Amino acid sequence: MFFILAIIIALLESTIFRGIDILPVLVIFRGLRKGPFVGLLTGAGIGLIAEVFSSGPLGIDLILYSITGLFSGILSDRFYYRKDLLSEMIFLFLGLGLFYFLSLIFIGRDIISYRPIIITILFLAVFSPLAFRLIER
Amino acid sequence: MLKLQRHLSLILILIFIFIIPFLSQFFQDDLKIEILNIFRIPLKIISNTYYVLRNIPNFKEIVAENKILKQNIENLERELLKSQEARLENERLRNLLAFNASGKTHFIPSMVIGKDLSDLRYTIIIDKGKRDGIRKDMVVVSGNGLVGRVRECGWGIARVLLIVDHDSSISGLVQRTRDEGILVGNGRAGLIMKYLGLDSDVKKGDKVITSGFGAIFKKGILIGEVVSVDMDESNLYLKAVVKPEVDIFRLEEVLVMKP
Repeated sequence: MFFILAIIIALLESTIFRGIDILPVLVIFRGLRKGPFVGLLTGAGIGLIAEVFSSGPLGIDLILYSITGLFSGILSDRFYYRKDLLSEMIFLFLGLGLFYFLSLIFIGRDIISYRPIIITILFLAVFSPLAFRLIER
Repeated sequence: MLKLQRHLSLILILIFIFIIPFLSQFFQDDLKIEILNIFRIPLKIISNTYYVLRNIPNFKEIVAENKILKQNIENLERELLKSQEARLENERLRNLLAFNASGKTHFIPSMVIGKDLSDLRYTIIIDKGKRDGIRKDMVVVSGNGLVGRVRECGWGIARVLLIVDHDSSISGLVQRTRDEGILVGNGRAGLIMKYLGLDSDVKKGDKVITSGFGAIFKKGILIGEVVSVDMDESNLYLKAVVKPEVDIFRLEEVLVMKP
């Protein structure tokens, strides 16, 4: 069910929701709440979905999402992760920061010219936990 | 013991994930696009719905524009008849002089049904593929200008590398001055034309076309317009920022050129 939702989100991100990256947010949340092992597996699964919908060499998106999921799981294990809004915003900011940093490195882009990505990360880090809480209710 | 097992599983999965890019060279080139072909119909439905809904607020303007366009079509049809006559006469005269006629270009119209999931790559997905005659490296245009080339081709779907992608590199020519250079994609900032000579007279407003060098892009396709000219980082050449002729980020239909 979770991966069917991920496929639907990938379809929508490829067509309508241009510039909004919900898939990395899903991976980070899963890693934060379920730990490194589930985070890695979720990242690998969603990474495979992202591979199909993006161009570039096979395997890059798989690695990116897997590392992000694993990192989020390790963060929640090492640092006391409370399921409150502020913690989630901070952890999400860190997770997305790693995701975009690795994306720029792996895809080979100039990091400095992508400073606007900070705004994307802040936007997602602030609004995603709120959106998830609304959905969970 | 359980923790050790879990750590081992984690490490094994990570090793497997990192090996895949190395193993990918043994897979078929178009594997990703063939899998994406499965989602062709949902992509088409979502993008068509989105285009219709996006145009609803502009309905009145669209009706007025439609009326003007119909009138323009009638005028153009009259002009076409005149030019067909001129063309037939030209053919007769060429035959008399035994010249070789140049081939006509055929186009395959396609709809844009998706874009790259990553914001760091600039590709679009079109709803035509191998079964419609599309092949890898075919040139894609829209209206007057160059859009890109077919990068991957599946059975009913294809991925087009846009000219603004950082991996895109095109040999170009400034139409007025005939200076040659290489145009590389620069994302949302457009294109950068590199290796212009220091004595080049390129100015803002100059049109840039494809030079025809390389096996992919025919000569004479309009790429864009020069926005600014500066010295490059090495101080050995000039570089020009070029704005694409086509509105790359609002494409809905494109034409694929059949060689």
